[in-house]
Amino acid sequence: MQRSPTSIAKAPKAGAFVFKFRLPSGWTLAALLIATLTLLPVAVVLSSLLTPEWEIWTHLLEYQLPQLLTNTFWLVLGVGMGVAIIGVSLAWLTAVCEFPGRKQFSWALLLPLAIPAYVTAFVAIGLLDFIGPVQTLAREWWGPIEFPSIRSRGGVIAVMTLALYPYVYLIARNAFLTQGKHALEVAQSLGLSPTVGFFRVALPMARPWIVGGVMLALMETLADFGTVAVFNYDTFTTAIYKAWFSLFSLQAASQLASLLIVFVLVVLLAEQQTRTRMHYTQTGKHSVQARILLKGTRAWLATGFCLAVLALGFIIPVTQLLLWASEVVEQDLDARYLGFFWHSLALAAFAALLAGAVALLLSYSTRQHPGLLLRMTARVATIGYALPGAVLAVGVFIPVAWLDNRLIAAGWVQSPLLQGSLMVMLLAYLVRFLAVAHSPIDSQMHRITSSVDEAARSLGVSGLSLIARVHLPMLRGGLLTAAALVFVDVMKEMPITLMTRPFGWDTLAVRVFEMTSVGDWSRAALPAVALVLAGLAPVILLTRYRSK
Amino acid sequence: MAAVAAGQCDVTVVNTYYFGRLMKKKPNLPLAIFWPNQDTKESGVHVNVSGAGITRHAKHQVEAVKFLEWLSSEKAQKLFADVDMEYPANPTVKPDALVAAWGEFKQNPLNVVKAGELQTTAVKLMDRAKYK
Repeated sequence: MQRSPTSIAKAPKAGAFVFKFRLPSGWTLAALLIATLTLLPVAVVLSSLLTPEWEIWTHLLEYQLPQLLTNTFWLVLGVGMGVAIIGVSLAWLTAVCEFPGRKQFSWALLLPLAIPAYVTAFVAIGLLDFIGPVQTLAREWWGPIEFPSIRSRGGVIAVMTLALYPYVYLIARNAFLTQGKHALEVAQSLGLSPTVGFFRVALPMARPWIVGGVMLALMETLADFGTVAVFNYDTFTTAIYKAWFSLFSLQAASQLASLLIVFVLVVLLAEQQTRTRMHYTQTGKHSVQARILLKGTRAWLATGFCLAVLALGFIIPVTQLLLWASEVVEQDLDARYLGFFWHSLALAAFAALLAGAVALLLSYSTRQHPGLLLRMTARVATIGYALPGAVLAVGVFIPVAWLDNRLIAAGWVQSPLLQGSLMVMLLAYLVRFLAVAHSPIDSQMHRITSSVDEAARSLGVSGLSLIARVHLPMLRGGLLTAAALVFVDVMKEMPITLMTRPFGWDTLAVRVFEMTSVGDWSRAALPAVALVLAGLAPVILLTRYRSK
Repeated sequence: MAAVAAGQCDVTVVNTYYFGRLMKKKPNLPLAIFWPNQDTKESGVHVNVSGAGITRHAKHQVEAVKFLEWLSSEKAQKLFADVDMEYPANPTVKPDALVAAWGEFKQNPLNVVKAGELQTTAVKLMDRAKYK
């Protein structure tokens, strides 16, 4: 039982120890319940380590784990290095230097965020595979030549790097904008060249931001299912899927998920560590600093580099998608697509509402009871963004199936009630995307100071009408952003949807998975175009917010 | 199949209807069908079956039976044969001319229920053989 801080303050009476135990308030209970929702799947999955099934373990250990560990190790290392190098160099160029096209590149380089990595993946394979247009043309011109295969470790790393570098770019650019230039000026006044100044001053100062961005990208990498599935590059997420739907062993799936969680928690801890080390010190942000003017070859190299990344990460994939989609749109766009669209939209909208409401509740509870308990509760409740969808699918399904069996055993229902419903899917979405909804709402919640409440009360507005007439209007922007972000994330979401959708609930993302798993790139392009269009919305939101 | 035609590899395993559909679209591709395990001592080629059934708790049993009857009717089976290039399940319907030209072959008589029972073992075997 928790005592609220106020009871401690009131408790002491002269000369006597008085303990007052209060029931936790409704707000505290709500927040704790939300955190439990997040912790439950983690606990369920980890508990499979305690009740191991040795027959499955021996099979996994002998034939799967060595490969999974090697694949995951190289993927994390490669993508980590890739996004760090590309993200930081682009951020430095657009934040501190001046070269042709810098202004346009500084927002355009965020565009690859709009394309799900699994879409970039199948476009890359479709274009560069043995029977793709590039190699076919090369064979026609020069006869038989050997290309390195795109379906390789290098191929997956390249595609994921192109899809995920914007995380590092966005965060590192902010760091360079707020401190890099000033630090560089100091370095230059001490006689360091810009290059030396970058490595000895700006880069070390921005390190917490860069590491934070890389950790976010690595969480996405560990969580990724669609990209590695297209490449047939086995990692834990695809192994979980296979264990559940090919070996029909939820136990094996859960055991694999428990191992993946261990990796994720390591990355999560590293990310949380770096967060505490980020300090913004704004030193005269609005004074216009002189940029480093790149001239001649160096200027064109900078432009060329930005253009190359943008072309590979956005322009070429989108062009190819549109070409493929236009090939099949007439014969393939039939009544089924109404279903895919409707399911994607309905799920995304419902999840957005749910996550928005729960995030609001969580944020409001921490406001009502500011203290360590609720701060920690909010922290725990929002770690879902680090939990891979494949893990959540297993972690939510197992307790729901258990509950179903209890209900049947108790004779309350005849057949499984919850397993085949939308409940598993929506719960998993909620846990996964609660943080996405929470952060914009919470940052606006902080702006509603207690003096706002006092002012309102002095005008006779209190209680529920305070919430309805003052708080909610002040939170509107945050709520809208939260809903929009969750909406788009759910539309693109693949593993949870694929593993826990009720019969007949195929979405656009599921269609992409099915068409790519039979290698039919042009028919996969049609639903992918819709996903990219949806994905553009939050990126535009982001660039507009940044240009303010 | 496109990769075989382009020379990346020599053989591939596919469902016959994919081959039929591709050859209907591009009849000049240098591809031919091969039926494995045809010797008298051997088990015959594996046949995939698309089955259908009705669950015990189905809400619309009468309609479902009607639908299944329609699916096995000559009209529906002709669609499967002509559009999808599949072997019709209804014996009164003839396969497409292109499909018929592949000739007769020895079928593996194994009950597909058995295949379902053995799936887990099969997947483990694939892991062991490092099949991807």
